Amino acid sequence: MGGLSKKAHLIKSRKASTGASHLLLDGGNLLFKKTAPAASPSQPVIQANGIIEAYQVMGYDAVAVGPRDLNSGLDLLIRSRDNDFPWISANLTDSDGNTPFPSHFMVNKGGLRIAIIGLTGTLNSDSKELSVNPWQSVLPGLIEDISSRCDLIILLSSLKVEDNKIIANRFDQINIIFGSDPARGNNRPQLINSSLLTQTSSRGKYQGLLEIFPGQSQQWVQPATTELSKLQNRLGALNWQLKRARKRQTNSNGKNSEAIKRIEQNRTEVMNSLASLEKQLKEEAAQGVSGTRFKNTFIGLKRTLADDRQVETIVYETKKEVAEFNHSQKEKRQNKSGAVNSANGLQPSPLVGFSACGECHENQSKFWQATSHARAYETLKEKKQALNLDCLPCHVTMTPAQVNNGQNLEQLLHLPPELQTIGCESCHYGPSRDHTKDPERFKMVRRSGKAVCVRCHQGERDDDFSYEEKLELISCPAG
Amino acid sequence: MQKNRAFPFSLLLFLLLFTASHGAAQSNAKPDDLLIFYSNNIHGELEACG
Repeated sequence: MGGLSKKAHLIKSRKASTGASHLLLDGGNLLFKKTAPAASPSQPVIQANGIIEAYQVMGYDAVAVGPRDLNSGLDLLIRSRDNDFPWISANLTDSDGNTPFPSHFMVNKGGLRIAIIGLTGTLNSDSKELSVNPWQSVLPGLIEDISSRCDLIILLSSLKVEDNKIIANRFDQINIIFGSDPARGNNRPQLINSSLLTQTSSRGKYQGLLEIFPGQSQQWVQPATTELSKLQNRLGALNWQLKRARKRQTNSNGKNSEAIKRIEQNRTEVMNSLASLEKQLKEEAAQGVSGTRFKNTFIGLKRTLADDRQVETIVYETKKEVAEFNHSQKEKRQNKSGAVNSANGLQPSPLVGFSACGECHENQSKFWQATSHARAYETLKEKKQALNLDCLPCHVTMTPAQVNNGQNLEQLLHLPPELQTIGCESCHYGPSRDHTKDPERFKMVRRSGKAVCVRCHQGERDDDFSYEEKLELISCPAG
Repeated sequence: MQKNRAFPFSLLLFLLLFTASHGAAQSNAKPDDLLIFYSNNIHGELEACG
């Protein structure tokens, strides 16, 4: 799940279908995967530039600077700021004590004067160039300054969720806090004092959508929505029951008609109640008798969603630039003979590769050749991503220890063909070189656990992974 | 003479009342519904892996 081109398509189509006023906001930690510094130029920096370009095409209104956005220093952000990228941070300061980004933006949407404030969380490493002021020293003055000039105050914050809760309790004036705490997943809006506090999970798998229906007062009204959501859940359950009953009907030659009829009746009743409640809520809102209502949705960016052409092109061009850059790096590092050694800053892999294993384990080797693991690197090549350091770790032979020790990813560009595959040592790890010399003394792991598989076969890459089922498919024959 | 002076005064009064009521109606106008698309922690992901 995920992807910027799907995100762009979803936003564009929702905007077009409703015609309502809208805001595009990001709580920060947008640009970089890791917390470690990123050299420039490098794959992470090229990708960061691609993301900035895509966000500009989408027309973002405000993006808070998060600690991970600063991995390659301030220059990248300053350049994009000067190119009208809407970074905000009220508490980030440079070495001279200046704030490089606006503390907030004021926008007018559909008759609402909205202030959007940015707060940056704790920086990942000690930086002489940058520091973050505590929110206690910047927020009180800022809120006092802007609250009389706006109808709605939104805070984009990469502080920890506990800090955001304290802020919500201290400032009645803040209406919404969009968090960016990396330790949290999709968090439905929680009403704390006068603020709704929410955030999505990481890596862009879900798009958050908060619909606001202003009432007479700005006080949030918890969705009457309790009833509404109960009915919606009931309808979902009945739809599922109906689908199953119809399937059974087909299998049992029409003996399930009574059950289907009953479910259909219940479904009609629930649908009528839903329509009536929705009408009532709309009328109440139109008469202005209620407070401000909201509806939140986390929309999964599934593979089946369409892509936005313009953003898809930006992603494609960025990947192409990454491949060209990594290719040039590879050429620079490797000497003319193609040798990988410490003289050119590379360490030969401690692994032996699948052919050495096949010399003794012939049956197993033949079996493995037919699995998709054996073709893992080829699939990357077909997609022209064989030089993408984000993809390579799950398409070449690496032991769990190499993964856990933070293997220098650039090494993966220089692997011998023997390791350009998910080979034997990916699962049967151990002292490979010694094992080839004295297999009785130096044993390899026979059956690796689930943890080894899920480092790659996890949600975002493999939605339906079942360890038990897949193990059957790849377990080598005995003997 | 008095009649001639009363006319602009009543017009002025009308305009004042109209402006006041129109302004009041505007300030009571309910803002439009608002959609907020939000995200966070994209962590450098251009597209889905896999």
